[in-house]
Amino acid sequence: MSNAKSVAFVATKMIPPSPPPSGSVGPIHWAREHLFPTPLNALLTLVSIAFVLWLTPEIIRWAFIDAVWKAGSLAECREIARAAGVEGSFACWAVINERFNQFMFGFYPSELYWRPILAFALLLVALAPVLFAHLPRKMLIFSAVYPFLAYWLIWGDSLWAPLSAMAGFAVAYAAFRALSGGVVQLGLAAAAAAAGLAAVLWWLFAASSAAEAMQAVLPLSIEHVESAKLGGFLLALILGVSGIAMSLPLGILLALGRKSDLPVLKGICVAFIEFIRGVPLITLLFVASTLLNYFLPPGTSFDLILRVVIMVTLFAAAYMAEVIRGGLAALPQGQYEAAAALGLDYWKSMRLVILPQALKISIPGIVNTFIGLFKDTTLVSVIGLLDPVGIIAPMRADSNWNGIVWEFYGFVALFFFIFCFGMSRYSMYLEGKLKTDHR
Amino acid sequence: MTAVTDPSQGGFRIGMLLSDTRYRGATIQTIALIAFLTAGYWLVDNVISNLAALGKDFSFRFMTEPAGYDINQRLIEYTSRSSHATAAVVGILNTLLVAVLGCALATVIGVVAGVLRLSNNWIVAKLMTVYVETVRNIPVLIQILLLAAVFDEFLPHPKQAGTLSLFGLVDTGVVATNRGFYVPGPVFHDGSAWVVGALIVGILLSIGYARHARRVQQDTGEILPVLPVRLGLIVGLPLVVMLVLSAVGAPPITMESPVLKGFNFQGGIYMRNSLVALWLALSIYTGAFIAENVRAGILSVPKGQTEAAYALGLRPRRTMQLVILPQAMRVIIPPLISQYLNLTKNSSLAIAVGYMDATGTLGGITLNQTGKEMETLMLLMAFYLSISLTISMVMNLYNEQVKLVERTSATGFAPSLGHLLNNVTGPWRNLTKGDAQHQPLYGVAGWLNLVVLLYGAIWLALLVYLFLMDTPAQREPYFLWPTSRQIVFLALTASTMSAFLTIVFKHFRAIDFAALTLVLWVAASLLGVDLDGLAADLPDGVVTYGGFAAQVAAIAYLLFGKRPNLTYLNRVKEAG
Amino acid sequence: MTNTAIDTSNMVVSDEVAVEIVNMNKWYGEFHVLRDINLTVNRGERIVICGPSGSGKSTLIRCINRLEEHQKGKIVVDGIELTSDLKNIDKIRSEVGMVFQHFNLFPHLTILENCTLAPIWVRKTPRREAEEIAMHFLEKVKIPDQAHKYPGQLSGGQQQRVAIARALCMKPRIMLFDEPTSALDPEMIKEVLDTMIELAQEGMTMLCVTHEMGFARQVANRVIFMDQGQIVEQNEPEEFFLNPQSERTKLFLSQILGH
Repeated sequence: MSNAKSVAFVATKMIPPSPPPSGSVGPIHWAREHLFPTPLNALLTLVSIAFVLWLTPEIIRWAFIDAVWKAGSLAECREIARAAGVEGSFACWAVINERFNQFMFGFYPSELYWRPILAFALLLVALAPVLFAHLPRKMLIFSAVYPFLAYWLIWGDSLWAPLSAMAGFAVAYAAFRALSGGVVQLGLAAAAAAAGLAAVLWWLFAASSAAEAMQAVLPLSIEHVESAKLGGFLLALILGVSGIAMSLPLGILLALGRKSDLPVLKGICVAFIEFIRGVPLITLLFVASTLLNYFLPPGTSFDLILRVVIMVTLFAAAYMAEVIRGGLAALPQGQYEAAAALGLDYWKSMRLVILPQALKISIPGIVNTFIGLFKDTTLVSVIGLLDPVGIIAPMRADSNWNGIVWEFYGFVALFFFIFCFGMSRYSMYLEGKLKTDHR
Repeated sequence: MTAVTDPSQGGFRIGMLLSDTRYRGATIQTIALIAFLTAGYWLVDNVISNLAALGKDFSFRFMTEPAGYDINQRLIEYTSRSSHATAAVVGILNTLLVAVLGCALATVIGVVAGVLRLSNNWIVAKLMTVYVETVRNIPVLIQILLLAAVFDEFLPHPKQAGTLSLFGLVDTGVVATNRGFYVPGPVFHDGSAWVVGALIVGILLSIGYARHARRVQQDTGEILPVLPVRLGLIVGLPLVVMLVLSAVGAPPITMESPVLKGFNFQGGIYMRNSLVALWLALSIYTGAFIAENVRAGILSVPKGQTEAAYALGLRPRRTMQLVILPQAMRVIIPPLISQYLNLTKNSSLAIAVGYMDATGTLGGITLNQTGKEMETLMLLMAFYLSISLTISMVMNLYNEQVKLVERTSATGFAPSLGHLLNNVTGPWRNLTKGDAQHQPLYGVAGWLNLVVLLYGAIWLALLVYLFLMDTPAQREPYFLWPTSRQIVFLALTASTMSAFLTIVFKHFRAIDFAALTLVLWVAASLLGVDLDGLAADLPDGVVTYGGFAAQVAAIAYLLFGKRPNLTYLNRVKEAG
Repeated sequence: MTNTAIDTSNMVVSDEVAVEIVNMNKWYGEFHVLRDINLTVNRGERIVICGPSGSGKSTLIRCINRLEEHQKGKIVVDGIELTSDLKNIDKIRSEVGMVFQHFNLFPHLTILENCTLAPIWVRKTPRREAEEIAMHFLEKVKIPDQAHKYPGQLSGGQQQRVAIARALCMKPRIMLFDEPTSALDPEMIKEVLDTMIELAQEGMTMLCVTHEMGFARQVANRVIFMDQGQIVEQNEPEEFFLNPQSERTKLFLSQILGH
């Protein structure tokens, strides 16, 4: 390198990598970058750390160390705590301990607790093939039967009632097969409509007499439990699960209706969706509790829980429809065209091409709607049902436990948190899985 | 567009109703409509026979009867002798009160939490994540009930209560007791009008100054300081007026602090625990959702935008102001508005803590006392529906304004009088079919917006009318009118409001509303609706003929005066 | 440009009419997109349609399988007239294969499932048989080993070849190509064109909207030039390129071949 003016340059040796200057990596650097980059940030960090350091031990002390787990009343709780030398507030979990069964089942007869527990265990079995794709598809048959089984287990009475309700679907299926291919050749839509009509006719006129006839021939029944005795988390789960299961198909139909280019159909769907989304759920629950029977033929009336399930389902379906509509809108027009060019008709192209993709896109929104629906089940306490929130009021009024607040609401909140948080994590898992699936 | 049929298409067979694309849609729709109407008829028929069986009638007359119950948190005059309608208005105002308070606080919480969640500061970001995840996954009803119960159980009795202070440093003057919160409030004396006037002048001046500054910048390039001057005008001017007035005589506005008198505090503003619990819980809950929206909005602006702005030499603050925020706001505002809507709807949970909002009055005590489930729930739903439809219309208009040009495949076209008058009044010609599809009121969605506009207006009209209900003696209460007059009046007010709104927005739909209003106005005066009764203080005929003249003037203005604002349209043209 | 001689032994044009379009007109709103189109395609013909963008060429071939509805005139495909009768539309769509500019593969299905979807659900072919047919055509477009991948994992050229195979699985008598190469990178165009040439050699009736003039010269037996919604000129490729008649054709050719 004697001639400095030369622009030509050839590297004579390769420079080996060397460690960075001290302070630009490692935990200290990380802390400087992420905790104390500016004076304001440093202050925020210190305040946050102080807050966490103060709150966490306080909560642990309140909820675990100083907590009283067994006592007959709040006064007794206080005595035990004072004897143990506790100063300040403490959790009196004894009340949850004592009322645990009410929180779980409401006023369900205690000797029959095995029935809802069994129904819950079977729910997990029924859900498994829906949630995890690698399980055998045959299990879905059980999932389809499950609602009727669960109804029978929880409410009891004759097995033939749910069976004959289920038979309605069998009737519809038989009618569909017979009309669409077997006996007569009708269009698919016409066959489906006729099948639906057959099922409705069965339910309206034949189902109850068939059930009674079968009950007379072969009595198969377990003890009946009234709806008014249902409560607690059992009720929340019944409302949540049935609402979730029914709102998805209804939401899909509404979304398809809203995307349709037939103005009347579209108008009906839009009006329904906008109406439901425009009013608070509580007003719909008022309708369920005071008004719904007015819309039925005079003399008929059905169970309050069923009415609430209907309203909750309609409510969630309207939100679901909007979520799915977003998914449908996100699909490129080419997908519709390619399906048409291959000769697929409307329903086939929806089922095979459009909906699988649209639903996949909308999974986060769908799960969010589910979470919202599950949280909204607490609103039934306002119309007097004894869900976990509704059951707190009589407990707080009990003179033994008068004055307890945090324990009740904290326990119920924890329950909902676990379910909702779990659902949101599951949706994130699904999203991640689907993203890697096809890339 | 009628298809020119080919000779071979031949005659009509009954099977073609389903198999032919020309008839298939109509067939399906006819079947759907018949099914829908049958179901509707069945339901209504059931209702009628059920009501008859119970010996009830369907009428809103009960709204004029005395309510007979007390409402302890209220914004307007109300006693238990007031009518159910007045009780409903008290409830509606209470709903609006908690909604407005909640939206404001939720926005603050949400923006702070959302920004902090994105902050580089690890522990702060994590804390905010914990807040968002916890609050979002717990039902809001539990949060409301918990807060209310905590206030009731753990706050001191007024006798033992003192004022709250911030970290023991600043005395806030707020007293929290198990009976409610007492907050210092302003008391307006003589001369306070001057201060309020100064505030208004200050706001106007600051707007004028901002325009001036922009003009200066455009003409000369000089950047004038805007924020400090505007703040000075808005805050400083009233302050100066107040100080001057205080120096001359008594201060025009004083703060009154709550003082313990007997068993309770007196003075200041009193907020019941139920209101505070509802307000805080709704704000904290909705704030968590808003935080997520804010975060998503900021994240939606690609990093390349910041880099490009830096590369152009913009400072970080200007980059934020001129590049990032305008783009992020487009993403943030629509979900933000729907969060406001959610908060408003969730405020109906007030009934669980005994705060008398619209649900608590109309859907609660009034329903139970009168047994008029059908009527009260209809009114209640109409109230919430009109709020949400109005808000969603605002959102649609906003979306239309910010949406980047995008080809829409709208299927229908909602005709406007403007098109009929196309050839008569040249200037409307620029609203041809191709242009109009970029208008917010186009096609099916357009008609929906129209309906929404109408809903909002009906609601406003009702509110205004109900307000006046208990006061005048000359006028018959609305709910005692014959039904036909009720409907005509409602439609009239709605269409006046709509015409007004569309003219304000300078929308091409305005002419339709103005024409409709004119027709309704004439119809109403012919039907004998007491239009002059709307303002009983004015001489007879002023309202009737004045309104008529106003509508004619509006139409004339729209036809021959300044065109409705087509800036959006022009923007589309420039962009495309 | 591939100038290897191609085997023309199977490229026979018969007298049988495959597509007949008579006085066909179409409007988008006020805009007259197709004006008095008259076109007869015999079985075995390979027709290339070219023209500036917005000239209506894509709309024309989309009318042949009723992705777009024509408002006036007559279209007869394979002896079936295209009316608003759904049954006819379904029949024609399953006889006419189409390949799109942006492939439009179904991203949620594997390559094999993409190919078997329509045979199973429209033709009611048993799954095993449908899969055999699909594998046959995938081999033909030279990607049998990708059969179990998803479209997102393939390159653009591969995707377009799958799209061709998908259309072929329905055993169509007519194939429509709507600018099949214009969304592809240059190095992938050849593989798609080769597949199309192979198809032509087997005697498939083809209507291609494309700007690949080399392909037109080699394969087409007729080139149609469209502008402003009408057929301006049509001729055999040699004549069309060497001796264009219309001024607009000359201008277009000079622009497209000028570099």
